[in-house]
Amino acid sequence: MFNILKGKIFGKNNKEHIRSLHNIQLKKSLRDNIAIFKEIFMNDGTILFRNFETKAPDSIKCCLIFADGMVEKEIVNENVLLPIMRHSIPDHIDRSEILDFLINRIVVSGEVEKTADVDELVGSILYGDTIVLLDGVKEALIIDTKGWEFRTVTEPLSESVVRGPREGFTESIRVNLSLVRRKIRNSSLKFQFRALGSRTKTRICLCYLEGVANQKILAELEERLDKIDIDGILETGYIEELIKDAPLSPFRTIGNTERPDVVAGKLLEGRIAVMCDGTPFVLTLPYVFIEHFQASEDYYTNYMYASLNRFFRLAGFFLSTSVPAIYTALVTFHKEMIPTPLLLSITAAREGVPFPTVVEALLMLFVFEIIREAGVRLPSAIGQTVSIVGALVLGEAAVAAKFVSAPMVIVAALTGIAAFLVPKMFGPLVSIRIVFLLLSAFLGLYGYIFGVIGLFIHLMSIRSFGIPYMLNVGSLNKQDLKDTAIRAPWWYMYYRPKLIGDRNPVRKGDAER
Amino acid sequence: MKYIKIMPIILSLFLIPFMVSGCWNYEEVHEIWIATGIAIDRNKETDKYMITVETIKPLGGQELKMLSDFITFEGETIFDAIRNIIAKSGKKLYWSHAKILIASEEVAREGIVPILDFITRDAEVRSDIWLLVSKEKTAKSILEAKHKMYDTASFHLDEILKSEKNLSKFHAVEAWHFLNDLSTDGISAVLPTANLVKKNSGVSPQAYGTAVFKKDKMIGWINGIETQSMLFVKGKLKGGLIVVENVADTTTDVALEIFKSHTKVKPISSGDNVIMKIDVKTDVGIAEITGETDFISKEGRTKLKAEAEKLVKKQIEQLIKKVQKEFKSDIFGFGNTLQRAEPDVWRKLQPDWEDIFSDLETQVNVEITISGSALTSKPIKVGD
Repeated sequence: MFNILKGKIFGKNNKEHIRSLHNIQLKKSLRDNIAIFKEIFMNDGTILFRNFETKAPDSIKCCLIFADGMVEKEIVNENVLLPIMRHSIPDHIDRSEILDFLINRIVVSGEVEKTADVDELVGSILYGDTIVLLDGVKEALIIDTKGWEFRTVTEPLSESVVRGPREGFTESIRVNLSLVRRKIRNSSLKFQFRALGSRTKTRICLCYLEGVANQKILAELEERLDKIDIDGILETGYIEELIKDAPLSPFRTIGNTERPDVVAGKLLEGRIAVMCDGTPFVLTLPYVFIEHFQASEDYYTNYMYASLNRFFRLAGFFLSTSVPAIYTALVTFHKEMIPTPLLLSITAAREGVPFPTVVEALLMLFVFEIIREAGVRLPSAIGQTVSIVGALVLGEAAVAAKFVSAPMVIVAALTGIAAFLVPKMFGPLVSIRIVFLLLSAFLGLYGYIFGVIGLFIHLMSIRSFGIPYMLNVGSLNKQDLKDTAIRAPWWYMYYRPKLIGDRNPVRKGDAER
Repeated sequence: MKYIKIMPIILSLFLIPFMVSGCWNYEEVHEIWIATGIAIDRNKETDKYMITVETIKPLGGQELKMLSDFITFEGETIFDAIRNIIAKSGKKLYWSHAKILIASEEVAREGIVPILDFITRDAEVRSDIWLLVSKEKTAKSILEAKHKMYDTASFHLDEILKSEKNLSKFHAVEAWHFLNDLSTDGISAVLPTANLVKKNSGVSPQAYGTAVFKKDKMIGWINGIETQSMLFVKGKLKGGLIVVENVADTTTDVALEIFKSHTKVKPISSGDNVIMKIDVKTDVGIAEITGETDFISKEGRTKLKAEAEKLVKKQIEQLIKKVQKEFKSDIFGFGNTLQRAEPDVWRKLQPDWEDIFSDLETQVNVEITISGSALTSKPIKVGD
């Protein structure tokens, strides 16, 4: 009822305005056409109208329309304006064929198109194209003159590596596509464009390797993208949240990365990438649990070292979810499980601390999150202050003042640092650790085990685009385990991941051995 | 809709723990009172158990300082006495970190079952707590020894008992093991004994020798060397020394360190007559030679070996005789061995095993292999 009312008040009007451009076609008269665009772009100073005429005799009145700042002015002048002004249109050409004549003989541009649809024309202008209107012609030319400033390709901040390519995606989708294309020079690499967002018309690109990517997953992805109805897409995060499986789960079922080499690697495994104009973060899907623990560097360095690092990351997952819970359980419920000397020193440290262990733990975890959150968005100059305040005031002084016990500071620090081993899972880790802590404060290790069971049931029940989230994690098959907790050497990885790259499972030639 | 269906499942998941959980309790670690050792005496005047509990409590502050304390209380039973302590302290003692339990000789002679029942029944007391019998007048006095290397006498005794394999002059016994021996047919239980030795101005606790039990009652002592012989026969010797004095009529003493010892006890029965054949095989190394005589060369070693074998054999035979005549208690587990090897004979002999044991014939064979002489291969030679 409420929704209907709301729709009546807001929704309909908005939609109708957007739709109003849909069925408008260009008129024959140049003046009418200009009037149409003037009306559409009313109060928008960046849209420039340049009136001119072709060379006499039989000069035809023309008009260029483009958006200032979105176009490369040189291209507009040299390749569009100049040729058309210098040439005269021969008599024998009919008005309806003039545009073809311009495309074929005059305009110097790799990408030219003609259309009568005003909606498309407006979209092109706003995306940096130049349109040419001619008097007495019912269609207009769209000439690609895009040219704007964008950030150069730099090393991605969120995923830096010691060994591996140092280039990261930028905010420009065309640059990003070229970065991926350069990694996989193959005609089977497909890019499918579409626009999302009823107002922003953001360009989205699906990348996949034909013949490798699972067609069912691609179809499912397309279907989900089609269902998106939102006014604007500013980042891939919008898309991720709108199409992800298990929307109530803290775990991500769609991955994201800033690195072209990661995207290329995932494409080769049969995954699909979704790029979005305006953000360097590219989505990859399906995304399974173990991918949290895979770093691009694993594949470039020695496989033994890489496997060891994977193990550390898995340990980091365990530590950052469980250390406060286990500590609290042991200290408050299962004191018989602590070795006597350790128990005595914990007892000594807790002497005089006013809060119960649980409250202490929650307090310290809270403080750690405060310091972390404060440090993330600060300029690096102030960042140091935060770390000093965090270390000295909240650590040292709090212990000295008997606000918290020293073991708890160690626990909180270990928990917080361990979470950075799995940076992609940061959000879930924070929430899981609090739940585990409360459970074990309630029921001891018994409660903690309950939490673990619950977590695993949840993880086992999630799917990402039809692929089980815990794919290969619990497998006993040698082939399945090759890229999970260990990273098998490349000469031993014969197959692509099961279910994901099934259409063409053989990765290495001599797999039949 | 899907999530609405899941809700009852989640709710029941949270409710089940309350119903199926056993014994649990939230208790802050600094609010408990850690008991480290317990001594059990008998108060003759009131005829009640007198329990002394050694407790430890860390003092706050930068340095880790421990405050150990004693509480003594009486009760009709052990648990009664322990609960009576609460009336005085207000706090419940925490037993999971208790290391040792010392029973006074009197209590041990009366019967040790009441003590064992408390240990096995109580949820907090560990069944691997060390059991000791006090050789001093009261068990309490051992806990109250002033000189100790650790914060409490209990920790001190705990460390001593853990190092059995280097000395073998006592045999550390955990409560569950004692209980096992007690309830098994054809074997009698033993416990190490604790006494006090003078050290500087005070006294220090020490474990030395063994208390011999018959059924659940203590009947006598054996000393440290005898304990080693007992361990030889039982095949539980893990280390220690064999000191051979005046080897081959010289003035030189040799200490041999036991690396490995293996014992095979085999009953040989002919009708109702049983002979126990005890084969001891021991690997030793020369650890000390107190003179210039060369016992490392082949001839010397042969002499040393013969003397050492003779010595060990003599010690074992003496002990067996002593136990047979004085205690009539089968601490070696001969009956148990017979039961396993020849169940039919055991079934016949079991009713009068006590008498048969005291007259049991034994054959002891000792074979010692000297396998090294540590860092030097020669005795120290004194020049002119």
